[in-house]
Amino acid sequence: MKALLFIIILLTCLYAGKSHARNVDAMKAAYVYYYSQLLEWPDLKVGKTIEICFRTKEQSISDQFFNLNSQAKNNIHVIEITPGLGTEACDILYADSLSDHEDRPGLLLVGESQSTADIKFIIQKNKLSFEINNKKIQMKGLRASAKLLQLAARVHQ
Amino acid sequence: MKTQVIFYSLAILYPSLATALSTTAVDNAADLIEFSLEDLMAMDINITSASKRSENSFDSSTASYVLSAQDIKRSDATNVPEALATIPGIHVAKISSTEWAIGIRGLNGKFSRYLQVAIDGRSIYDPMFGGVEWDELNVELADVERIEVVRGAVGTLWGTNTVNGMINIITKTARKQQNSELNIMLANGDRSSLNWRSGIEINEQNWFSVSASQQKYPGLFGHVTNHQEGDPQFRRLNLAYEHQSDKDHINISLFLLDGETGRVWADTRLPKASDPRTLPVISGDEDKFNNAIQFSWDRTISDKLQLKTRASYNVNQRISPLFDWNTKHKDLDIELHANLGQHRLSLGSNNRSSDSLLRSNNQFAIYLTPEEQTINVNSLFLYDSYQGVENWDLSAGLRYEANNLTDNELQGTARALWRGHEQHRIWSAVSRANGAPSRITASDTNLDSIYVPPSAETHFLPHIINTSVSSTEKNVKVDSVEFGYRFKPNKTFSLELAVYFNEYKNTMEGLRTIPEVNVSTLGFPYLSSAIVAEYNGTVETKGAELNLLWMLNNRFLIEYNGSYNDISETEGIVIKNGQPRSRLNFDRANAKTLHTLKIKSDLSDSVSISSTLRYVSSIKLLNLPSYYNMDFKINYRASKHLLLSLGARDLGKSHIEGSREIFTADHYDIESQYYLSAKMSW
Repeated sequence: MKALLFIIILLTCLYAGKSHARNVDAMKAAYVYYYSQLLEWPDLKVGKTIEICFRTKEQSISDQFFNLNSQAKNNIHVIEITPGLGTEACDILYADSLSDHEDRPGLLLVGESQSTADIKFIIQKNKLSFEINNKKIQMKGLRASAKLLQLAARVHQ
Repeated sequence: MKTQVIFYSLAILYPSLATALSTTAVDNAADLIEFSLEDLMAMDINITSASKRSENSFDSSTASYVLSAQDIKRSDATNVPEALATIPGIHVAKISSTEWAIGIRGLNGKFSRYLQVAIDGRSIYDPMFGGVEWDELNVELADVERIEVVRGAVGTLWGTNTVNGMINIITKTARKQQNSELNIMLANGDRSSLNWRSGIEINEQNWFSVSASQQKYPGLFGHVTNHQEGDPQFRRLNLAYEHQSDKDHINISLFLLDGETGRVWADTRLPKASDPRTLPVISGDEDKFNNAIQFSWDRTISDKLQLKTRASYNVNQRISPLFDWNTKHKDLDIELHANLGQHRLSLGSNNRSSDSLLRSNNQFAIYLTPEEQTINVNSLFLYDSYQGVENWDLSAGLRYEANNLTDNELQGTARALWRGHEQHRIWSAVSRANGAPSRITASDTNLDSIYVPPSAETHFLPHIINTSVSSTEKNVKVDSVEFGYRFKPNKTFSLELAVYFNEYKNTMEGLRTIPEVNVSTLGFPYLSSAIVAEYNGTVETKGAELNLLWMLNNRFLIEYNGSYNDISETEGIVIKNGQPRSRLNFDRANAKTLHTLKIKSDLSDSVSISSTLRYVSSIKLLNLPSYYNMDFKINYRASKHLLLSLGARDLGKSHIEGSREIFTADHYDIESQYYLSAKMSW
């Protein structure tokens, strides 16, 4: 009897531990980190730190990108683009509005609903996913890994 | 049988309980990358958290505004009071080089008890005289993460003296200060400031930061006497530690300030000089120390339950040849926040003990009996937000407060927000809030006379008003009704309108005899009168606040803030005991209209400008005329590590913005300032 009670309690704990919806802003920042790891950068960037830049008015997303910066052991560095600061040093740029930033070779643009985004976030069935404009990425001298292309909800060639 | 019943009951109930209170991690990106991308893509997301910030402002049933660190960086403000002047509905009046009268919805004053101000939730309101000593703010503007302002009677959540509003200055945690920065500013009039900040990551869960600064600036010149204040200087040191784990978030902050000021006070004894324009000013070079330690601990018990605790100890010392004024504050706050179905409940206890001491010499003629006294304020509150009715957010709260100096009080509020259309919001609120008197007005105070400087109103004669009090001051009670409307059709435009009606009871009034001309023993004329202060006045205010924000494109933004505040007229001549008396209401320092127009523009990737045009209407009680002024700043990003700025403040005619309610020796002219600053980061 006691053993049965213990098993029931154990199962409910496992069940309870699985139920959790994630903070979408934390997820977006985490996805941007994975884009830095799953893209092949030009030879110049081999072994160097990848600069992830962001510009947003949403405090919650800003906090999450700063939180990502605490991962000093990884090969990334996160910068907030304030007005007046250019994107020359950036390898990836996440912004509320991408249209006012230079679209140049070597810079990956990540956004929400803009046509200019190289990778665009979408929400499907309460899960965060993304679309990749692979043609644009290739024209910039970047190469998305097979794994990233496989995980994308849609790939534009 | 009994055992079986218990067993099956537990077996049925426990899964529900475990689900309801399941322990979950606080989400942050650094933790999420421990999972693979495939695992992340398989997880459900909480979409409502996506617009948490926009929900806080757009979906709030209060008139609120958040000034972010980015807004502050782009603005032309060089200190916290100047940053507050850019926020809708706030009236900032610079009284002297180190004093400001800051108010919301009228009833402004240096010693106002209608506005609560906090740093990271710790009250910095001064219970001795009332108001805030803004120069003793041991926080540099660059340390500020954001400033949250709520306008209106929100005493239920924030406690006593939150009658017209609440300002909460949130500082950057240690984790947010990991870059190193050096800020240098040079300005006209031998004004300068230097600030250095840096941080280190101890490990994945612990951070430490330090910020040190020094500033000095010139004292202002008196309008009538041309007498200059002493030049203030301040030094600040802030140390911060932060710990963040799955369930716990701990912040420990140490704030240290020391400084010198040279404020000028009125010598309330009869003027000795033969020339009435020579004011009896006394200067007391004052040494100031303001040191505080603050501990906060947030524990996420489950995704539905959070515990927040905050404890702080703050010591202020002000030492001058005229007086010793020392205060010690001890605060302990414990709050529980729970999501129970459609209800979001907050339950808390806030406790504050303030020990204050004032000793003065006979040149600074104010004495308290006893010299030292402790004010204890203990309160309990309960607040519930209910979202069970479609398109409506309903909330209500109650706070019970016990104050050993005055009566115990109940404060309450009920609010409703309609969100039936994605572009429109309508909200309303009824509230009762309470403003506790300062120790000066609630205790046995020997303040014999008030000195009014010569002005056109006094025919350029000094005016000595002999004072007495007919009763002990009580809590001011305000009953408030508010309505608000928001329209946000897209990300580039927003409109916000708030309308309010307030009635204040137990305000301070005085019946003053008609001034007569006397001649002093040294043969010069002066005016004299006598006033008896009472605390049974009633003041009504009504007003409106409008905020318009328009982003023409991502490089150009215009924001307009306008407010109108009307105060009932209660002054006039009355007959008491067969004699004419002038009725004065001391809580009526009000600028009827405030207008601010802000323009921000990115001229290129490396150059941006911002400009603020401001209009403040006249203040009848203080005989101050209206004025315009303009602030301007241009930023140039010279490189990734260097930002240069050129700015100007208070452009326009020199003007007077405010004065102290008592002890005023003169008014001070606010002149234009020009500055150059450099910010290096690495």
